[in-house]
Amino acid sequence: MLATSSEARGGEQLSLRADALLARRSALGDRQAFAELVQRHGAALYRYSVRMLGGAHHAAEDALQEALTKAWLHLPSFRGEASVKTWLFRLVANECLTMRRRRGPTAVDDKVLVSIPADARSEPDTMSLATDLRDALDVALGELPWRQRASWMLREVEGLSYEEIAEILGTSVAVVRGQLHRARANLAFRMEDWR
Amino acid sequence: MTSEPGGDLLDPEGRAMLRSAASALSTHVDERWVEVADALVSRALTTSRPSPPVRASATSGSVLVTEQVLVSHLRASMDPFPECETVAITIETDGDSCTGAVIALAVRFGTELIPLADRVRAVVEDQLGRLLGPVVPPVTVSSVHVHVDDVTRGDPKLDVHD
Repeated sequence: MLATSSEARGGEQLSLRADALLARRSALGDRQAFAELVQRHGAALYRYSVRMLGGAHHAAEDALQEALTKAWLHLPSFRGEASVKTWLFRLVANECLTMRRRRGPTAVDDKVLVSIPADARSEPDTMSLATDLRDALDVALGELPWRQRASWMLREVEGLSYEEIAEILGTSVAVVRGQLHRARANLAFRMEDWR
Repeated sequence: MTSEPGGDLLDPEGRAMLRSAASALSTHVDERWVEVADALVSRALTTSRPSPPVRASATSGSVLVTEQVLVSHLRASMDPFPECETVAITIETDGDSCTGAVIALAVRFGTELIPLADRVRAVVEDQLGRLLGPVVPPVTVSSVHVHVDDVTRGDPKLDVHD
């Protein structure tokens, strides 16, 4: 049975409450609650850091380690102005940015010129297609400018609102809209062969 | 028709392809994350939160214990109370001497508050006695304050409001 939008909203509210509860317990020194909080969001945070750091897994681990350590340290002063998920993403985004500055920027042109061929698809089954599509997306994402990539990842993959993305990236909703606009156009062109 | 920025530049096939790609990525869990998750959490948890010291009394002399340690133990001691959830704990001090504690609770609707507060005070007094030893002046039930900050309709351990 399909979930209705009110059921989906109910699920989202439950999830927000669970996050708030785990954050509060973590703030009071409950290590198990912190582990559970990371368990809930860790895969998404890792997915984001790896893509923001050009597929460099070790750098992503370092960024995530720093972010999780800061989360543990600062949870007692977390006041819940943003959702826990948004707060965690902000910590990770900041660490990725720091890591990127240390490594030096990679020159990326705003205009992506070459599309990724789809003829490298191996097996025609659904699983392989999804994997190949994801691999092609990873390549295309890696060539997007930083803010476009971050905005697209947070909106389309993690499902965050424009306001939450602006909060995470320390920018305005208008800038997020602009970055998304360009990211979608660039990705669509880059992945034209996959239509 | 989409109101999403950039969506107007894409034909339906382009939009569908990007949706599929985003969906493939959003359900994907990197293998490396599964391998390193526990280690990252463990390392984060080894970091000590900065916290003021509180003087405890041992037979061989005094010992300093951080407020965080006291808070952590007091929170754990509230776990056996199904009718309430700890919202905040404040350790009251005079210099580095503990003079009391404030326990803020969210309580299930219908719970008798006075008997609950008495039991919470007794547990907190007992815990502080174990953690701090025979400090002077002693922490007693009269120096433990219980605040009921919220009332929940359901299980307070699952239903605490912000």
